[in-house]
Amino acid sequence: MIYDPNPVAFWLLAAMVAGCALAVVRARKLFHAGLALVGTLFAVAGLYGLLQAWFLAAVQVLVYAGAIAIMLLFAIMLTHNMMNPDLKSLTTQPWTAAALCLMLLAILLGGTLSSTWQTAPDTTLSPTWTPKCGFQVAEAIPSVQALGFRLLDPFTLPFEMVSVLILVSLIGALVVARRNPALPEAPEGREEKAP
Amino acid sequence: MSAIGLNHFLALGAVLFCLGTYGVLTRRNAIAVLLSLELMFNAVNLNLVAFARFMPNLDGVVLAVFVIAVAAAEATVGVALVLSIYRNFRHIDLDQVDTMKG
Amino acid sequence: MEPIFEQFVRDLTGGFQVPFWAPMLVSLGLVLAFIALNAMFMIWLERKICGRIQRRMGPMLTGPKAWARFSMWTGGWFQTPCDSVKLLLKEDIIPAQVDRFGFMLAPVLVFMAALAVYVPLPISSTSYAQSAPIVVAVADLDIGLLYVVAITTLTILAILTAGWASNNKYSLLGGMRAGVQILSYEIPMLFALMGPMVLAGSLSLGDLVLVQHAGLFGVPLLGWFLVPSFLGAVVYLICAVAETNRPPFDMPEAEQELVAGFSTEYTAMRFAMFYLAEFSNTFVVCMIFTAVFLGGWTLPGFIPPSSLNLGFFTLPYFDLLAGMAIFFAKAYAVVLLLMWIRWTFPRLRPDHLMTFGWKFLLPLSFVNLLVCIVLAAIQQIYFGGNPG
Repeated sequence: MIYDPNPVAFWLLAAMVAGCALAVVRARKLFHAGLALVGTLFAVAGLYGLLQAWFLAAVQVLVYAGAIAIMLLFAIMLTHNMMNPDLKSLTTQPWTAAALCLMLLAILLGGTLSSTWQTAPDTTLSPTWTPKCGFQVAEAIPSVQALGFRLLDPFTLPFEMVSVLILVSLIGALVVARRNPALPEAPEGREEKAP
Repeated sequence: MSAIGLNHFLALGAVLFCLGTYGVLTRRNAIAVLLSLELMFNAVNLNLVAFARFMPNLDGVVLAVFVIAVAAAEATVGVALVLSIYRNFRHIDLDQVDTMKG
Repeated sequence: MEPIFEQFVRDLTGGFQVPFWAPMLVSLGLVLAFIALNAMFMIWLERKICGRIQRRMGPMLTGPKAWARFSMWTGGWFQTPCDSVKLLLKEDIIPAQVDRFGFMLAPVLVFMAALAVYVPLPISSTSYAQSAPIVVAVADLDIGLLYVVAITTLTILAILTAGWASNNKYSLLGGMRAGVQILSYEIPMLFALMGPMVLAGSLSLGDLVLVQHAGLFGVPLLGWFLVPSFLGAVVYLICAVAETNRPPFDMPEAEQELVAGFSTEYTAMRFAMFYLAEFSNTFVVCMIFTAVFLGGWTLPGFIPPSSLNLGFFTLPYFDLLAGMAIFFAKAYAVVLLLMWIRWTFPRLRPDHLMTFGWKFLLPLSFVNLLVCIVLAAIQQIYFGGNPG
């Protein structure tokens, strides 16, 4: 049968995703935008859970909410005038951008909803997770093991390339962010000002 | 409420992507732009996982894992750039980072 | 949890089928009650241990006087309930200059994280009136170990939010220190846990325990992952202390430098939430250590019967109770170890902390992972697959 998720859970999570994402782009305090981003990430992790991609949901929380979002929050704290929570994050041309984005949304929705997608029943899925201890879960859940085999069998090269990419970005970030003693720094006190 | 199908997830992904685009276009603060970029990444991932579940084919989930890894790399470099800009300009307002002197 | 609870109610009432939400509500209530009562006991124990290590007696005046006369370990039983009542009755102050949203969100977040992390922790197993043994956990998730580590990261977020929203330099410094510390120690912790994951070939905590019970290389005594992944156990324990912000890693709330760190501006119930979550997290860490490295609810070569005949009365669910007793005995042994560490070592300096985590613990956890991979390969080749 075609997979059929719980509608109540879907609509709750969808509302959370949309609301938090709106807060990310419109929140006046940047820190609140960061918190809203974490909310979005959690809701998306919930949607992954709804789609039974449990491993991905955990990775989403661990890597996205736990590392990337926290790092962005750190950056907000390091770059803002921290003791002044009322410092506003400015926006430009909201109406033009809104019109553009609505047009983009119309194109995307029209494209996706008008095309017919090949959906298939669950039978072709990889071997299911058979618990050793009697705890039963719904059938046809792609197991972590299946994902691991998939990652190492056809996707070996991308897997290794991603590790190289992360190493490169690590070194690059260190080089870019390191204080260069030869260059003079801008003087303190020139804080962000509202024009 | 009718049954939830693939189209619902795709529509949600489209909404999320457009909100991310809106943030990238309107925000002037560099970190706010980075936050909005993460929204766009998530929209893409959501679509990938939805396809993986409804097609059904594990490759979408694998691809989403790669996207998360690349997003981590992107965020690292992005934050490093922002800190570097902040050190030189004492602000991270993208409209005013317009000198080439460094 | 669900099949056991359903069976239990059916036995008790003679066939009543519980609605699907009942097991969830019951689990939630049990976990909440456990967190509160266990934290109270742990606070009392901590003060007693601290007193013993510093050659004094700790709280002695509250509670029955006759008990207190008997020995220092029986006095002061009512100290933490009294403290809790005091905290509950205190005025709840939100300072004028704080960011109200963040200030009110942070304690909720930290408590949510502390609550959610209990879901996959297996405390026992039972085969009473079941076709196969069932792990007793709220839900033994497929990705249990990963879930636990992922939920822990929510604590960083809560602490950062508390530090920022308090609008206080000490709070902010404490929050930043806590964030950096937990984020840095998450990585060696995950790598230390990867050794047992590889050995067991599963992420489910229930499976991990069962694999340990089956033993390594066919020897049950080698089964506890403490033996094959000893370095991992040490690294995990150190990282766990750092993750819970306990001394000697308590720079985020170093009293002498930062007043009380991120919780400086918090009072009454909101402060109690942070405090409760800290103790709950400490115990969770000990429970994870027990499940992953100490064989959980099992003892080598010991399988309790599902019901015990006492002659006049047959005790049902005996294996469940025995498993729980074994599990909590082990977990409290780890708790005592952590308390011993806490009151023995002086606080580290933040830069020493970073050096220790990144340059010492991380390579050590890599070595541990390598050892575990070799052992798992030997097991796979010569003894046929994972022992579970």
